[in-house]
Amino acid sequence: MTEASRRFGRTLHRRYGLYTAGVIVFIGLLGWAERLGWSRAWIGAMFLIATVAVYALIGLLSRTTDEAEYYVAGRRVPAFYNGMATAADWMSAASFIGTAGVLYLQGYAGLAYILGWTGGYCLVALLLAPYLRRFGKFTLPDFIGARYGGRLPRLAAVTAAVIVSFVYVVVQIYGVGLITSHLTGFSFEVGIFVGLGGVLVCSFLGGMRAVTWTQVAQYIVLIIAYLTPVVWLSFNQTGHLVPPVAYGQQLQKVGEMEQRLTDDPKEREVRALLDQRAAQARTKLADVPAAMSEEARQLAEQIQRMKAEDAPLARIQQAERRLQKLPRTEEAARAAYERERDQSLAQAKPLAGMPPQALPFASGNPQGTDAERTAFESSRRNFLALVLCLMMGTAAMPHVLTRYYTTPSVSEARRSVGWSLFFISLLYVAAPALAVMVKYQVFSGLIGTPFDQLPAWIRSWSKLDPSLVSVEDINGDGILQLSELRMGQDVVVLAAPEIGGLPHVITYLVAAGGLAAALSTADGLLLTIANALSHDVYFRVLNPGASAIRRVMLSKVLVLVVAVLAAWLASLRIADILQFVSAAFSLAASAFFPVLTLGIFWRRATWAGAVAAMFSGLGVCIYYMTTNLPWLRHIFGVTRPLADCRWWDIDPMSAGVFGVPVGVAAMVAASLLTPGAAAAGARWLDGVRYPGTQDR
Amino acid sequence: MEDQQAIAVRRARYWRRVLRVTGALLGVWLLVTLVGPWFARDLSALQLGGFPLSFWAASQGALLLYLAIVVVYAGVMNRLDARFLQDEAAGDHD
Repeated sequence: MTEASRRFGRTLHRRYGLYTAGVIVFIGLLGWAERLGWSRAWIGAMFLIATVAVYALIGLLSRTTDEAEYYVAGRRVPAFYNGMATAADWMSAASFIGTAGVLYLQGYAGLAYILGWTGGYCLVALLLAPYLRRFGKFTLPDFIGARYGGRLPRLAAVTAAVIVSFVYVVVQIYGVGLITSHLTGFSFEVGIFVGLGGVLVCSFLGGMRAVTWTQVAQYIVLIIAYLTPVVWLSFNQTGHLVPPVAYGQQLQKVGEMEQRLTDDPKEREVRALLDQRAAQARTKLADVPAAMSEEARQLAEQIQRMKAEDAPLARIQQAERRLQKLPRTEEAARAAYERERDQSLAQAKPLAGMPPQALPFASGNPQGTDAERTAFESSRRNFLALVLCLMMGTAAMPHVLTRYYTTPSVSEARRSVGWSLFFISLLYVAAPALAVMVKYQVFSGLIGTPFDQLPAWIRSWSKLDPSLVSVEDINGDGILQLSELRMGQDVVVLAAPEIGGLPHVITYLVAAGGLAAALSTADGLLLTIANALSHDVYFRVLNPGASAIRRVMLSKVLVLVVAVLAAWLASLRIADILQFVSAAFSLAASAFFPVLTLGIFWRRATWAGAVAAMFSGLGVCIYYMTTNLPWLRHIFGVTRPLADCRWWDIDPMSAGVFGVPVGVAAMVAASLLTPGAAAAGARWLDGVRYPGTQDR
Repeated sequence: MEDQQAIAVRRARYWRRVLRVTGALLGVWLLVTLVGPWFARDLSALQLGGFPLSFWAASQGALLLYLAIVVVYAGVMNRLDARFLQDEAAGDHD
């Protein structure tokens, strides 16, 4: 390490130390303001304005048009800070908002995300990061283009990088919209475009350099925001300040409560009523038009009767609202009945459809009947398939891999992966703790509350979107049963402070953290897309004579265009966050994992092999998703029964477990059929494998 | 100037070591990833600090091992690289 880089490191420590102190003081001041009686809207707006302004300021201060600065932050980022930036780049809205939610709803099954998103860094460290750094250019397609030669591998890599990153960026912008509208009360669409401003200022002005230094700042905000409620809840519930140790006892208590709730007579009553409801929905589906008119008639009669009996006004109004909301067309009614049937069936299962928190593969039983054994095997197989997909996808995500171009040397790149994993694990170790403690809070504090004393957060969230939280007194006893509460996965983290009764300032801190997570990932992705198009397509293929400034300018314009396009798509609100993210990982793994790793470790891999691997891997992955995902089946008019399209009963989101082996096989076959690399190619590979100038 | 053969021998030896380190650590990685979840149901009966062992292993234990793998790899490889460069410098001076 040179004296200059050591001095640079000290400067960074001082600046980010001050910044962290500033963030904490800022939170403290707002907490104090809340006690003085500032309104919630003001505190929310302050969080939004202050954080986005700081990110924008850092972006403004690091603006650049220099090529090495714009694409790889001048290759001066120390391992420690590159680790933080990678962690922010990596942890998206899905990690921040979704992970604890999945753990809350699905128990052990949610741990697949924790394992996959951390273990993948072993693959990054061992198979890719040091070699990419030793290669030392700008983008991932650069590497593939240089290794295999020719235009086609590079263009295939660009196509795959753009598809993967674009799917992923849409999800981030959706998260930005959700959080901004929650923070400010703006509508979802306005929220998207406000948040987008924050992303753009950064990546637009300063490229990788600005994105790197903003991401470090965003990591600090997001980790404080995530850990504060976890530590606070842990202290409230157990008296311990170290959640990973403390929540073991909460997990045990949750297990005991689950047992009690499963056997509770009131819960059984509600579940029986829900089963009836599902059966009724099935009858209605048999003859939709008749059911529609019958339903309207019954409701009107019921209202008449209640009025005659002088029933409480609230209940009459409730019935009148239901009458108004009845679907008008047959198609809408059919969809509504189908939804009612599916939701009632799911909710009628014990514990409102949530498996016992700590029991692995709870949908089956290895000692049970044949069907139970099959369910167990399939659940275990799918768990491992998802874990492997997420891991290989991690080792193939273009926006993360390019981060390892930015360290000063190969050895720093290796160390940097360690720091990345450390900073990422801080959040992932806390996520299960948060899920378990929120569940404890819900079971012990919320279930059994009379309906007229429900806490305010239930109303405010169900008003924002009923799919996030909804309650309904199904058995009419005036008391909330677990089976009468439906919680969506995105609400668990965002509402955790309110569920635990923490001050409002913590609620807004968590929202600001989620915003930081979404913005930082969106930044990295937008830059990856724009660079792939401007550097790899325009400069390398279309116009090799273009000047560096012209390339950087083009990249900036593309960031703008892609961002607006993604924002428009996100505003359509397509599907739930985590599903889309898993799909992006499967696509990335299928497209890149075989080409990258075999390109480094197998000398014989050739141009034709690379093209075959990318197209067949991606092709198989997309084919499996198209034939298995309901909405894609609908678009492409797939009529073959779903059961025939399944391979080993693997979920379509984990299609990467088919894409990768097919890609490897295609790579080997096509490579062996074509002549091996020329002398120049062999020399190039030597430069990547053996230490040289990039290692000093 | 060092002859080509000496360079080739040194590189081959270096690459063999790299493959050995990478292979061994990948083996550990695969073991950690597959064994824990595969036997999760059986491990649930065991307890560790209030946690069922399967839950603890997938939420904390595996993460610690992954971190250890990455840190060990960085340490070993950085030393291996330094020695390679030293040998090369010594070879050049011969």
